Amino acid sequence: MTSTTETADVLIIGAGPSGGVVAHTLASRGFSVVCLEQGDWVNPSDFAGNHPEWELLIQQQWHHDPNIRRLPSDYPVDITDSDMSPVMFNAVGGSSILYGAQWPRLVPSDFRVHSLDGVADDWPISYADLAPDYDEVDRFIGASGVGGDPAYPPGLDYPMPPLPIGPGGRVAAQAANKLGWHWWPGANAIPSHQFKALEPCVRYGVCEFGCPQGAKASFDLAYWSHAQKLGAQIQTGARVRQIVTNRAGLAEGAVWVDRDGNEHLQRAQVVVLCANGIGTPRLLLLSESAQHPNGLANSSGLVGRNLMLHPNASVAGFYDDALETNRGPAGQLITSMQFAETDRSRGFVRGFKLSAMPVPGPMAAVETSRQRPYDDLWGTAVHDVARRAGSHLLWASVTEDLPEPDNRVTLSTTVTDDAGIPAPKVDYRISENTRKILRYSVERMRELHEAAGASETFAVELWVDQPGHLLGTARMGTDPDSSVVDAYGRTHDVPNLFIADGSLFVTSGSANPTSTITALALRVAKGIAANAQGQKVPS
Amino acid sequence: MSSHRLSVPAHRTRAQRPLSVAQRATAHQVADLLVASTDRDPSPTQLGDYDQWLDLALAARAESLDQLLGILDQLQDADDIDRAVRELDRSHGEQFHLLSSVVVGAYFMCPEVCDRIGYHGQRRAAPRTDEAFEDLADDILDVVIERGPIYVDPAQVLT
Repeated sequence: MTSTTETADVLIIGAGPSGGVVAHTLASRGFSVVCLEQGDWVNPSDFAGNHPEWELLIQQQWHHDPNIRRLPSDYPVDITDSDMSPVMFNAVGGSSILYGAQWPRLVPSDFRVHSLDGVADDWPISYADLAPDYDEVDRFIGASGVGGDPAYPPGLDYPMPPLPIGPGGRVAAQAANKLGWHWWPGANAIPSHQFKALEPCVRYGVCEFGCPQGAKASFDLAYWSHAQKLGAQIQTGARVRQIVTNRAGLAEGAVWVDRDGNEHLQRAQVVVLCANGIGTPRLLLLSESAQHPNGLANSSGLVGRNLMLHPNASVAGFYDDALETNRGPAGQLITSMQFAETDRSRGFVRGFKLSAMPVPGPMAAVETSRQRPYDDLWGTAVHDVARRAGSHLLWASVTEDLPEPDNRVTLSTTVTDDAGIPAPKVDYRISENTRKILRYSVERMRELHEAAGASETFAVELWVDQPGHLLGTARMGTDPDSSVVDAYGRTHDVPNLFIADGSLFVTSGSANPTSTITALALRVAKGIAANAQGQKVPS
Repeated sequence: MSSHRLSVPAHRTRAQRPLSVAQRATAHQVADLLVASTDRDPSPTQLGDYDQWLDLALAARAESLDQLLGILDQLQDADDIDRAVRELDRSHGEQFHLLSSVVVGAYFMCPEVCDRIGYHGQRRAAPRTDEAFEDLADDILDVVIERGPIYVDPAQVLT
């Protein structure tokens, strides 16, 4: 094993959204920053949407699920005991490379679920505590949207004007109005005008498969490009095998494996894990030692537990009128938080967020219509099915998944990655409360399509391979017995080891989480900087 | 240290090996079943360039090529290919999904078909400067605003 001669001030593991925010924040304050990332760079010209066969490329080569995609950057996820296939992307920019860039925040009640609803736990911070960090990230990436959404406290506004909601968004909005339900133009991490390294959105419509225009705030473009200018270094092709600690119980750095299988040690004064809600607990569990027999930072036994995956449902609708649904953003055209808060008369606690999205492409129309009887889809029927590509509108729900200790990440005893490192094993069962939310949300989405005059609808009560919301596996809290990190992401057990990704979530809320993940990462990074003077570091 | 790309699949425009004559003939038969001609629309084999797009579709699903060729070989032996394809759909949904995606996906890439259905792939379609505001310029959002806040404020509820 070779060891780096230089000890970094800060070692970040994972170059996704949270890693980018931490790197930029600390590099801009003068810290030397090194990031280890097992993937590498992706260019806008690489994405499937550049090619006529894009609808086939996304079925496998550019699939969201690493178990299907199997790129050299990926590690397998053992899902033999899981109701869902957690998805992610491993590259500079992380899963934001393939996210839809929907940019909602948690609502204030999400931070007080236990106090309000008697379930799960409260966060150690409030919406008001996090609001300045939400705002700062929004400004940095050029989020677009319309201020004044009544689903949020006053003050929420966006630095960029909204993207067009188009005919599809208007049809969806008129339906919500007819039903008397909340809706709002979608907030998206997609600038409506040129912004820093980001191009303006040209409505390619393939946001979830990588933007060929470079107009989506994937964090390789939105943050890492700026962090690098400030001196932050990224080592790509670096699979981290273990966080190493010294006798004093402080993190000293990480052992990583390069593309050719050689081991290296990167030393650092502070280590920040940004490897997502599955990769981070995996690495903590891999870092067991005589000093930390149950894995690092795991005196509570909660590392890996309380995995929340935000199960999605959807109802697709086809319309007689052209809705321009081959155009973006996708992304969300509009959103509804009508059912985000608890109403016990519905038979469950907490709720779900809705978003209306365009579904581009003739093969997507075919895919959705596979629920039809054979002769109503194939043969002579398929032509008209494909012609409906421009009037194919999707309502999708993100359900609030409450923490369950038995939903967890452990280490697989049978599956390893290409470097021989044990894969994460996901044990995950959808709770009865979540199933009730899924079913209820499907009925509400049907109502929306009916109110809008859809000619045909197709429901999917559970998308087993969506979304990539990996949350809760190293939760924050004030009590070391019931949480892994404190309110600034510092692990209770290892004073110079921090976590800054979706693992921190105490509850999942029902909003797409990247906005909150990055706001938390900013909070963690500012905390590291503010406390650097008194920071315990390995000698 | 090797420099191959880790996070980007190689973009292939040709499959690792071509279809045999028999496999291609079977693919044509399946394609014409799943996309039958009508008074308005041609079947795949009525198009002059279908094979070009079929080969691109095969390349796009290169990792599944062996499986796909196996399916075509099996269908080649069927006495009644229409019945065999329907049976594949009923009993081996994953295989049918792969086969139908490739042969039908190829059809919808043919330029003549794209013209007929009005779809020309995903491409730049920049909005007009004021398009977003035009979408919201009428009173469509007013009722939402008039209803006022819908969020639960823990500070108020819990005190």
